[in-house]
Amino acid sequence: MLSSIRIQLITVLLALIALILSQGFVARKNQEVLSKGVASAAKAVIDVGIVKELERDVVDLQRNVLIFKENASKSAITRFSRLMVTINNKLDKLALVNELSTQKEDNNQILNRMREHLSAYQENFSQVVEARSERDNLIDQGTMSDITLLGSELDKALAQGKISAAFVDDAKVILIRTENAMLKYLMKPDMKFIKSFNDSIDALIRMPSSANTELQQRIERIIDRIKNDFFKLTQITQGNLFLVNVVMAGSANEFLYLSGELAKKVSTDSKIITQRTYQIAESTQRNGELFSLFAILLALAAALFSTFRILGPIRSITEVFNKLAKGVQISNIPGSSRRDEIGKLAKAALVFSDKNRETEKLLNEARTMNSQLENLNKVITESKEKAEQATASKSMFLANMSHEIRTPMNGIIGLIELAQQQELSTTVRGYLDKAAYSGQILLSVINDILDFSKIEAGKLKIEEVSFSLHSLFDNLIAVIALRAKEKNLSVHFTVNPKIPPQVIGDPLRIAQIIMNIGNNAVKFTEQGRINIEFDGCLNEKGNLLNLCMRITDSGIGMSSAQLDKIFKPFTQADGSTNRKYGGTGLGLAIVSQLTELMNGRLDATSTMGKGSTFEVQLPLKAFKNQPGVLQNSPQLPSNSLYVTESALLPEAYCEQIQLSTSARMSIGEARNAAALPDFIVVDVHDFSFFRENISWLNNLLENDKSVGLVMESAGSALQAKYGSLWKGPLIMHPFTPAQFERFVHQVIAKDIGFEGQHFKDEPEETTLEGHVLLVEDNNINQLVTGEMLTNLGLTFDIAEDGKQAVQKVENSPQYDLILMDVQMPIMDGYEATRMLRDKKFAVLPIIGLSANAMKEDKQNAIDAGMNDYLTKPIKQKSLIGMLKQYLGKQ
Amino acid sequence: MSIKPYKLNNSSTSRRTLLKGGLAFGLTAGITPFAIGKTKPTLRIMGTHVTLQEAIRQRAMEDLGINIEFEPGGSATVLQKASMNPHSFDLYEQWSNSINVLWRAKAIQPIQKKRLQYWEEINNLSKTGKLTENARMGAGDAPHKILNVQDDGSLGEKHTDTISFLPYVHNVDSFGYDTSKLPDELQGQEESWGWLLDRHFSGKVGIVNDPTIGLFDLALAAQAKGFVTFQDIGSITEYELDDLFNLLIELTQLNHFSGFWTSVPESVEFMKSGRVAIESMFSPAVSALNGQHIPVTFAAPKEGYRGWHGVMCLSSATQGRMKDVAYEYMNWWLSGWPGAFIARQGYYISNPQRSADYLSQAEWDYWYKGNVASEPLNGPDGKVSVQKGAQRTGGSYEERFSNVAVWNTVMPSYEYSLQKWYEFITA
Repeated sequence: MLSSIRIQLITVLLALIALILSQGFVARKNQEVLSKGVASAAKAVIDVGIVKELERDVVDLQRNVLIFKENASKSAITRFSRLMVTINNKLDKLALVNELSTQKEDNNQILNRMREHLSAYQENFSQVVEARSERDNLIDQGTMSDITLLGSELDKALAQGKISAAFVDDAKVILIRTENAMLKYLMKPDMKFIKSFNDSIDALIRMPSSANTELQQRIERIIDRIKNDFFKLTQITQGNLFLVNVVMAGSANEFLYLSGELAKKVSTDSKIITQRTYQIAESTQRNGELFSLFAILLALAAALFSTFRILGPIRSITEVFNKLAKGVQISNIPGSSRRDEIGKLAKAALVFSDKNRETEKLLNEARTMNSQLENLNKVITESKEKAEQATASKSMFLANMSHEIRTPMNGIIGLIELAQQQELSTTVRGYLDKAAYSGQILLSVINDILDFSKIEAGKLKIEEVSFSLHSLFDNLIAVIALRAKEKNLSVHFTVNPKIPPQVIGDPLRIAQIIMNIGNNAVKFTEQGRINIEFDGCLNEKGNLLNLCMRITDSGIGMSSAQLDKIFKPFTQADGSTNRKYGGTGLGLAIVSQLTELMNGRLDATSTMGKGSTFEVQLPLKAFKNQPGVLQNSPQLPSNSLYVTESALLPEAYCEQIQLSTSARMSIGEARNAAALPDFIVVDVHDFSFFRENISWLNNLLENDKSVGLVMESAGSALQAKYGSLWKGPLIMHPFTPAQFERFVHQVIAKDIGFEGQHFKDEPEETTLEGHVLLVEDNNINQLVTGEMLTNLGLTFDIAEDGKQAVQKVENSPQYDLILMDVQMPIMDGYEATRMLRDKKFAVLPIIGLSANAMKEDKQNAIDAGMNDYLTKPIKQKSLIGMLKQYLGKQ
Repeated sequence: MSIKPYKLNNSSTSRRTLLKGGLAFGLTAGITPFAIGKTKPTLRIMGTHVTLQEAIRQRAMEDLGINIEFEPGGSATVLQKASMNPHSFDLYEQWSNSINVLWRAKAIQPIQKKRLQYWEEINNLSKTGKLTENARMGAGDAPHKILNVQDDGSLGEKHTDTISFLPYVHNVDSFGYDTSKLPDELQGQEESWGWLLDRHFSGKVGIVNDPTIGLFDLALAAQAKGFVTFQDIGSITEYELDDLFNLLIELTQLNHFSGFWTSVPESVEFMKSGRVAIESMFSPAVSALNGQHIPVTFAAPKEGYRGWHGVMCLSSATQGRMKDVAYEYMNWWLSGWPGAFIARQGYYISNPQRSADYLSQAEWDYWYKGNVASEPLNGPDGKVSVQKGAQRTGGSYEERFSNVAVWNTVMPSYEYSLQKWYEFITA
């Protein structure tokens, strides 16, 4: 079966077309056959006519033969040959016609036989004609003339007297008899006339004659000729008779018979043709009807085929698709087993259905997934909450840790501090110093951890307060220089003189950043120099300073891979770094994060083994129209001399103090100089230089010259030596702008006592008056804090917890100030504070003490009603500051 | 003649080889051989289709190494032509009834017996007219009456050194009929010439168109029916002819006769087409029809056969070398193969023993002894013409030739008969 409906349809259509065409063709053919049949029928009638004419002609032929036989008429011969032509023509015509006949073979045979007979007839007739002429000739020239000749010979002989008259008479009688016999034979050919002829002529020969031999022989020769000719005559006559009467008559007979047969056949033929024509007509009609029926059936079949095979299935497929479109599930698709287009459609429907199912399944899956996702979200939320809780817990834990660590640290550091204030042996003092230092490191580590936790938890707030860069510089130099000094590192600190000193930002955190980097530089540098530069530029308005801090060391440096990692928490450039240099690995991470928090930029470049450069740029608000950090410094007289071979003072500083670059001499030149200006600045790179020239320098001092020395960094011992040998102004790297300014003042004033704006680190001997309630559960801290208070000249009571404190205040409300630890058993500081505030002790200053370094702690303290807050371990200095604030007012 | 004298190999190939050898010997022994290098002589033979057959010509040319021209024609035509012009042929082959005409016309010359190699083998039929002691002497021109050239130049029974013709092919004829169309009334009856005029065959009768032959068929038929009686059927008088033809013309006008055939093929066609159910017949036509499975029986009429004898005549104009060739041909005809060849057409040869060598036992038994065919027999064309079990009517050669009622004859009333014949067939 054809597998495509298209092909099926085309086939059916082609079949229909072919049917119609063939119907047309057959109809046309039938029409042709019909008309041919009619034509043949008509032709057959004509043919029969021709045959009849043939018969007539043959009869005419025979008639003419008879006429010729009777009187040898020439016209009969002419007529005969004309008839022959006619007959032959008619035979040709019939032969042509016969080509179409149904009995072609038979008719041809008949025609051939007719022709044979005809040609034999013609041949025979010509023989007859010939024989006739020969016969006539024989009569005229032969026998007859010979008889006459013989008669005349006899007469001649008689006249010559050679023979007797009687003989001649008798002979003549015999001759006449002979002639008579011949004529009789000619009239009626009969043996007896031949016999009588022969008898007569023989009698003539036998007749006795008196003639001489010559005459006798001559007569006999003539008689012989007569006999011979007559024999020929009889032969011809007989032959002619046979030809005409037997052969020709037979031929004509046969010819007539055959023509009769032919006529019969032709008429039978015509009957058959007519019959066949009728049959054809009938069969044509029947064929036509059959064709029509077939065409109708085929059309019907095509219609049925279309309906059942195409339209029906298409409708059901359409329904299937409709159902599918509506989302109804289809279990059975009709026609899916078919191999044609319907089958393909069904298969498509099947696919469609499958896809539907799949889609539904996918939808369900998606729903399930969604719910799973929701669940997951819930879980995530829970997890997040948990994480947040965990973070909170961590924070809490950190707070607790902070408290738990700081509380003993408070004791340790406080006690050490107290111990340092006692008269001690050098050894013990050294130990204490180191213990204090260790305590400080431990504290800074704790601070680092706390800071990082805060940053991680997003709880670190960047403050925006106004502060002076000078204090930053002081602290920085104090810390870095101290550390560097321990390693005999040269530290140079340079500040752009134009930087405005007063800015707004978080000084604590900025210091933390720069100190972290600085400490690192010191830490990772074994020898060489550390350059610390502060630069910056104002914006056009002059209210925003882009502070740029750069620290360059000549330390171990880092590879670029290490460089990438150093800002990540808990990481150092190298795992081994940790073992060698120690540290939490949090320092640079904190720096990076703080910089980021302050919208700054942190860059680090490094060369392995050569050192590193860290640059931090921080945008800071600045007050307008400030003079730069060094712009207020005095200027040296313009002829001042700078004795140096490589300047230890930065170019900017020299410019600032009018120390011309052209007015420089080496120490050799200076010493040999005839005259030196009043103001001389001398660089001292090392102690050997100092030792060689100190006498000369002192001489200059004594000659009332003002000489200031600029020293390379040196250890404490060397520093003490310089101080003992040189009484003039001296400045040693590193120095702050403020220190430089003071040095310049000293040089100008020739007075080393000039202090200027000097920040003194040493604690003042401060005495305060007042009665303080120290609420503290920790005994050591009670001791430490109590000692500090005692040192300050204050009296105090101790309460072990919040409850006691409240009771004590209520019982004897003469306390000027309460130092309230916030974390205590029974009742914590916050609650106690609230209770006290509730009990009308609203103005009593309450200062919170907490080992919690978290910012929110302070806020909590404020919220609880505390006036202020101190973080443990309590530094004496900060305690004093705080107490001064509240007790001084009284 | 009751026993086949020689029994040779049936193989025609070996026979032919033998024949060639024998012939060659004969030629070298008795006749001056043709000199090599001379052009082949051409022998012109005039006659009828009965003996002028292509197979014979080819065989003769091959055997004799000469050219042969056959000029077959209608009997009357060739006879007239031959009698008027002896120069138109070397040999003339027809029936004995033509001898008188040719002889009187001096168209033929006497044949020397001594030059006939097989003269002694020629049987008595043509020598004495009786093949057997008790043979019936047929009426009319029996061959022995016209064979011998008499001292006075006429032809007669007295034996001399010369003869007018070479006796060779001969046969007895009767009529043939389609056994399937034999009327019920005639079933079981003895075959009779009278059937030709029987009313039950009316419209289905064919007659040979020759007064010297057909006339005797009709005369025998009329006599058998008792319509006419003849004094001497071999020499019917004009009065008797009148009576006969009155009857025949009457029958013709009643459409008793369907046709008059002039050749053997035509007689075959008559029977084959169903135009006739009974007709004058020659043996070859019967063989041909039987070969085509048409059940034609060659009747053995109780009244006796009409006999005929073939004649081979030497033209009076043929002399010298051509005459030698003509004798060669005549001798060849009696050398065996031609006799065997024509035996298969039902004809007999005057020296049958020599042809027996060229026939199988079955053929010999069937054709000459009149026995039942023991196997299917082929005709001269190589096709089966005699089915196994068939038998010739009339018995053996001797039996048949002992029962000749009349010989084909040119009677004294010949001219008259021609006139009457004309009237008869055109009636």
